[in-house]
Amino acid sequence: MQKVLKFILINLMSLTLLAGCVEKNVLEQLGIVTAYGFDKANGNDMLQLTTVLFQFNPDITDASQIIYSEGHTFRELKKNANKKSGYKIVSRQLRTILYGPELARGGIFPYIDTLERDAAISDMVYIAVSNQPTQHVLSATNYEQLPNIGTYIQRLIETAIEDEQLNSNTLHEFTRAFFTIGQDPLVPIIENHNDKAQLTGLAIFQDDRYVDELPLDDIFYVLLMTKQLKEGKVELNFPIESFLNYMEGYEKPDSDQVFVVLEKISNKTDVKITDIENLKYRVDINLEGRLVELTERIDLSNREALDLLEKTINKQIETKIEELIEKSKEANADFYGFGKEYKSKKEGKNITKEQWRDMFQDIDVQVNVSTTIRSYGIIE
Amino acid sequence: MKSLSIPKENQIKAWYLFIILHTMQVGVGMAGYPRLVFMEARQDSWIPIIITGLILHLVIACMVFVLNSFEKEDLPGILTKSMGKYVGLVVSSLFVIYFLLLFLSVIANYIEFVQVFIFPQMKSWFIGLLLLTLVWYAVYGGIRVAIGSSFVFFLSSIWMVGLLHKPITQIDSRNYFPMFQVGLDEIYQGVLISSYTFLGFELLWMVYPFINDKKRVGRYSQFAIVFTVAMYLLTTMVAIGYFSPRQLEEKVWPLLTLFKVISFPMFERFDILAVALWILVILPNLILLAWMVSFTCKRVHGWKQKYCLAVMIIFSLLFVSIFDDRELVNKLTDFTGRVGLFLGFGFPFVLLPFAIRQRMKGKKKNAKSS
Repeated sequence: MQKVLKFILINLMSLTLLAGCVEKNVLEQLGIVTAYGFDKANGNDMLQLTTVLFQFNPDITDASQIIYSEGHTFRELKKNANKKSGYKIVSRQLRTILYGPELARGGIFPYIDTLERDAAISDMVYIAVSNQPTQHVLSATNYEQLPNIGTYIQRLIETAIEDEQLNSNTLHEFTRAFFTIGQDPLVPIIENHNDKAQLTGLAIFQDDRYVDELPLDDIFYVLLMTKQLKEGKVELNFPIESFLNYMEGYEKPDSDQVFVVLEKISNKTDVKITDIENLKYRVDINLEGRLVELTERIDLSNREALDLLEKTINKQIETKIEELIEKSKEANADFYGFGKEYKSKKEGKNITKEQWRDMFQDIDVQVNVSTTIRSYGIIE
Repeated sequence: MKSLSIPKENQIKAWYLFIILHTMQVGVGMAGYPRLVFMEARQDSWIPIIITGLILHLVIACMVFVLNSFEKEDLPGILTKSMGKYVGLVVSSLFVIYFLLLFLSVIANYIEFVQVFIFPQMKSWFIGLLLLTLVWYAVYGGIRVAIGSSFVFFLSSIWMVGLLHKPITQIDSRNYFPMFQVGLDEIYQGVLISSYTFLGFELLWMVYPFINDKKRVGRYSQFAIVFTVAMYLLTTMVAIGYFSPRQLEEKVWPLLTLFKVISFPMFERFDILAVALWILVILPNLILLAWMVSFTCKRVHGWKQKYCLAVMIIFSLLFVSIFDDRELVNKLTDFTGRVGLFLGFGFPFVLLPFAIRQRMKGKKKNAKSS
């Protein structure tokens, strides 16, 4: 009896080795998706999906493939794409999802939801929109030395995020902002210019709808308020007039504007509600950075000149942030997340998204920036 | 029913209790727990967790008191001694069924994980067969193998807590405010919902006679509770900070979704591995529960443990292959949680008067003999 049992047990245990046989995925037979592009198909309410496939096969020289398919739902689109490919299409390595302009203006959440539901799709996928049909963007053939356009776009976004030139907008972060009351997503815009995909701006989203656009450089002022920067960069310009006294005698200003570039900016930002009933906010930003470029020779060894420069920079940044707040009010999209701050302070009954949209118009934000220039290069 | 006399070589040190009680409490429930408690108590979820923890300390103290009063008895022994042969038999059998329910709910839930996350096409009976064979093998070796394997599995899974560091960097602390918004009713609901997740400490009833140094049982079981509560508190707070409220309400297994942002250069989709590794969290649960079911069965009815085990394994296999839809698994889990509320949390207090009587008797005996 004992022996029989042992025999059965050992045989059963060898079954664990069979676990590998359930679903075979032979690498050479897979079409690995690195990017999807969603568009509205002409006229009716069909969708068009651009699938960027990548194959692992040493014999192929051009391993990248693009497949177009039409359908009503994501599953159908995928199924139709599979009809056009000899490879089994799998999306576990998906890196970027691009939404076309008409789709983005109509709201992209229905197409995000299906991805969120799918355990095979990573939460680290980047969401981006385009002002051109994504079909056009993804068919750009110049993607440097990278294996395919999907990986290229991922690298494009990733480098910008690391460089603090872009806010991270992964699938998780997008849905988080979408679901949060009092916060709206800010999504990178990618366009094809001269056969190369590039970052061209930021899309302001109201919930899941693309409503307005920001220039890419403005991201600094958004990150300044929402993140802790380590190496932010910013270029500012202001009239030379008030600095004329601090210029060395023999120097004649070349123009009436001075350009300043600050680098390695680190910040400490504090967003506070000072009056919760009247929606008064106070934002204190302390930032520290290095001055690396100055278009006019202002004598910075002079303490007064430096103070004046810092003050001018403060003023510039304050005005810019206030402008952006005005812009976000205009679009009625709270990408700074003032509503979230309100919600975390307001006790009692919760507010709804719509209530916050109304209240958002009335918020009053006072911005105080204080800049410290840590060094100004190897010349004084 | 005879009292157990455990040979020296089969006894275990009390500090193992810390590991085995903790691993028993942490299991499938953990993956979905943050959402469940959040739906009741919102950002103040830490309040019901801590309250549940305090109740647990009381329950454990009570269990240890009862067990100490009867000295060398386990649960069936105590029941027959205090309630008489027939009532004892019925109540002990109830406990066998309850342990079996726990076992079934754990295995059914894990099978569901595997099917949703990794192998949608894998049949339930096949995953069940693989798991049950391992369980059979471990329990077949006796209590020391069962405990030893859970110790190894504990060490090989505890490091996964470190994986939370990545989601922690993405926490928005504003999600925790405003504090103290939760009402008494929600706290009560939160405590109720926590009951299923914290179950598993009933192992102490059965394993007590095997403990070598019984004086330290109280200390190590209380440590285990502290550790478990800390673990649940951590995972729940990370989930609340990481997800926005609506998002958290939608995630069936927030803990596994947290792992979806972890990515290493050599292992880009770590979440897939995390689900597979979850087996290390589940297996000690299954092994110890299977041991509990078969051993209690043996104690109550006097049947051989290996037959009890074989019947149980075959029954479970049939069960998981027949009942494998989400709805049913959820119902089973809810039902088990409700039963556990009474048999796990409530029952020690039922036994309290009997234990006090037993102590009085013992004192009288001592007084007479001295």
